[in-house]
Formats: sequence, C-alpha cells, structure tokens
Amino acid sequence: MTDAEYISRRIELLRPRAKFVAFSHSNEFIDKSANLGDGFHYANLYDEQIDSNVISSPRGLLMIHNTYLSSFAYNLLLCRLLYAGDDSNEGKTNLKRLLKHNFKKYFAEQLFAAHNNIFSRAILLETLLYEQQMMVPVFGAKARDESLSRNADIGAQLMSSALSFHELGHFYLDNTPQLWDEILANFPDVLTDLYKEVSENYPSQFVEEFRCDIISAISCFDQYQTETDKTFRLRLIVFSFAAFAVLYSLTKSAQKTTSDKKSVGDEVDFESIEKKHIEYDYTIGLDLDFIERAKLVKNFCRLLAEKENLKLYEKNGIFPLEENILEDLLSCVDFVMESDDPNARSLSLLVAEAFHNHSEGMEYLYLRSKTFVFGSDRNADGNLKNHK
Amino acid sequence: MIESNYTARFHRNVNNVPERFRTENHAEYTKFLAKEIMSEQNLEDFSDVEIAVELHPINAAAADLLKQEFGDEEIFESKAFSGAWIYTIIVSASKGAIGKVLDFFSTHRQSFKDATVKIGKEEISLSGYTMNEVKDFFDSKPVQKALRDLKK
Repeated sequence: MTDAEYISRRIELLRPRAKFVAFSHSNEFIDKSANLGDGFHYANLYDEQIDSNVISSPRGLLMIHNTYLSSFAYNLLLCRLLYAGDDSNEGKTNLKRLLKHNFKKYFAEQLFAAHNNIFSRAILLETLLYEQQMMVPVFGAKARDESLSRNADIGAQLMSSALSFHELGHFYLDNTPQLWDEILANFPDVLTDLYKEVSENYPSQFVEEFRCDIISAISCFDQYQTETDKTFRLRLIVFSFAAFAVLYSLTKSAQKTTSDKKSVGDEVDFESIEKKHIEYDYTIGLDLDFIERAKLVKNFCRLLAEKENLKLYEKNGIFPLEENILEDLLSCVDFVMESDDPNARSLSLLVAEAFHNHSEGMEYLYLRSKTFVFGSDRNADGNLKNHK
Repeated sequence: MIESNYTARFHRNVNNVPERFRTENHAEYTKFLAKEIMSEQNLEDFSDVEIAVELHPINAAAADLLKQEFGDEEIFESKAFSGAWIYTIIVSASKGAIGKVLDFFSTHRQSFKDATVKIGKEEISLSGYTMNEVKDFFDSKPVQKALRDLKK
C-alpha cells in the first residue's frame, strides 16, 4: 500500500464524514530549503467535525486542513465588510441580524452533523427556508463591488491560513526546538512580557497552543504583505480569532445539546395528524479556553500595532474594528436561537418531522443549500475528474 | 397558510446564564463494564473490520498510559486547532478489542475527558451515556449497517 493509499484509508476512519478530500505532500509545495526533514502529508477536506489538525501517524506526519470553519468565517467577514463604517441604526441592526443568522446556521449544522433528529433538522430548516434569503443581498453586493469582493477574498484566505499556520506551528515547534527562542528574539518588545505572563499562569498544553497562535498571527502578518496594508492584516487576525471563539463556543454547545438529547426518543407517527405540544431543550455556552486564546492574540496584535505605530482600533480604513469586537461577537451567542417568526419555527418543525427516516433527503437538501467552489481537478458534483 | 402541529418550541435550559466549557471540567461518568456491554453484541463477523476510538487525555501522563496499554495497536496522535489533544486507536470491531478499550477508559476515567467510538459515520461518546445506551448503540441498525458496509 502506498503512503497516499494508507493516508486515504485512515482518513476514512478518522474523519468518516469528510467530503472533497485532496492529498498532497509538503515536498510538492514547500521549498526544500525550508529544511523540513521528511516533510508531511497534507490533506485538504471539508468536514463538519470542524478542527484542522496535525496528526502523527505510523507513516509520518499528516496535516489536515479543514475548509469548513473558514467558510463560515468568510461569511461573517463579508457581512462585516459590507457594513463597514455604517453607523446608522439600520446598518447596525442589519449587521446584527446577519451575524446572528450565520451563527445560528453554524449551530444548526453542528447539531445536525452530531445527530440527525427532529430538533436539529428543524433548526437547520428554519435557517435554510426562512433566513437564507438574508444573505442574498450580501452576495449580490459582493458580485457588484470589486473592492468588497477582493477584500473579502483576501480576508477569507488569511482566515483560512490562520488555521493552517497554527497547525504548521505544532510541526515547526516539534522539529525546530530553537524556533520559539528565535521568535522571542525577533519580537522582544511585543512578546517578552506577554509570553512570561502566559507561561507563568497557564498549563503547558495551553502555552503550546498560545505559541502556535502567535506563530499563526506572525505568519499571517508576513505572508499577506503584498496584498494588504499592515492595519488591515492585524485587524483581520484579531477578527479571525474572535470569530473562531464564537464558532468553537457554538460547536461545544451543539455537542452538549446532542449529548443531553441523544437518548431521548425521536419518533413520528405518520398515521396521526393529531396536534401535539413538544418542547426541546438546548444548551448554549462559551468556550472559555478559546476565548482566552482570542484575548491573548488580541493583546499580541495590539502590542505589535503599537510597535509599528498603527491604530488597531479605529473607525477608519476598509475594515474598521472596535476594541470590543470579541465581546460584541460573543454577545450574539446569547440570542442565536431567538426567532421572531413563530410560524417559521412551527413549520420548520413540521417539515423536520416529515423528513423522519429520510436521511438521504435531508442530506441532499443540506448539501444543495451550499455553494462549493472546486478547482479544475473536480467535476461540478465535487468528485475528482479521474475518479471512477 | 399551512398550520403547524405544535404549540410550543425550544427552551434554553440554563436561565440565560451561559454554560461554561472548560477542558478541565469532567462530566459525571458511568462505570463501563465492558463484559456486560459486549456480551450480547452481534459482532461475530466483523473482526476483520477496523474502527476508530478517539480518546482525549487530560495530560501527558494520561497519554503515556494509553500508549503503554495500546502499544501494539495503530495509534494516531493529534493536536487540533481547538487545543484538543486527541489519540485515536485503530482496533478491530471484535468484542475483545472493543472491550479492552472500554475497560481501559472506565478504569482510567479521570485521566480522560472523553472517548468516542466511531463506526463509519456512526459514533458515540462514552461520557454522559449509560451502559445501556452504549449497548444499544452497538446493536443499532445504523451501526450494524455501517459494519457491513465497512466489511465490503
């Protein structure tokens, strides 16, 4: 069995729901002068099990880049960019509605991926059938406005890179032990005190995540210097980690809700049209660890901005950013499940019941509701062109 | 307008105080008696099928414990963007192999945040579920179908 076949089979076990899996090896895209030793296998995929990760396998290192999380981060960024600088009440209300919709859709998809039951289907259907149209003008504006489109694309690339660079950080720290000391030496004004504080107050596992977050932030800041100005890049990094903190909070909320509900029966009597009263509980909470990481990245960006004489928080530029961006996005978690249309919720529940024992139909609806952009190696259905 | 069947909806269950997730929090747990769970399972034909079990150690010592116990198995060590450290063991879908993992998790429960058994697209987390629910999982139609599909 070749390494590629082995990795492919193992991904089927480790990530059974992953879609659009593509493999390569780091030798194909990282210059040999980078001195990566044997390098690593690289898999790009789309999986509702949201993490990207770096995996040590018996056949060498495997880096998984999952585009699922960054696709949601992209929508959030696009909404923010569209309403950048709009201080009107209407603008603020519209932006809040859009952010809430995207967070709710994410929560619904996480619930549905964890357990296909009436409740998860109902929430997902509510977002698909009654709220999805909210995003139509947003994508319309992107299609019309070249500048908005370009900034959103660059921002999305940076947010996606933030995940990969973090994972690469684990790889580099394992393979180049002196790397962190070099980083500290390169950023003495910015990192010395911050790192001291983190290493003295947090457990070692958290400290390693912090170091990888910083490697990710520095890499994003350096990598995109030809495409964007420094301020935009730093604001994007702060926004990325704030958005990820909310998305991870919602993932854990969905896992907790699913865990609490999984043993509850989920039956539909198709013989009866009797009206019923059904209640579902759900749990919403915050991922405190990730919020801590987002705050630390925010601190790092603030210190770097001060060193570079940049204004991180101002209502100017293509991406105005408020100092309370993290708290602002997190506040959406509190009302993510609110609905001001009781009819939408009722009918979504009814349709969710109608989909009982028809997982193929629901899966079809779910996938058809999305727009996937494939490279030239894939057909319109996402299958590889040479795939039989 | 189509009229719904329902008169009440969804309730958040924490009185608007967000539940807090921390890695060091451990849920209440059930002592898993692997023999009891596996005794009536219909796994006779699937010993050649591979399944994955994910374990989340709380620290390096717990990870070492796992590596010692399952040194002969194929183990994947993973660091995720979320900060989670996950160890995935590939085992055969036999009573003996699955039972060994359940025994290990139950014996060292406080060293692991969670364990998840993945059989195809079906999975069950071993934290927060009762023994009967785990029993039912292995015996459920989707899991039996997933095992048959994996055997092909």
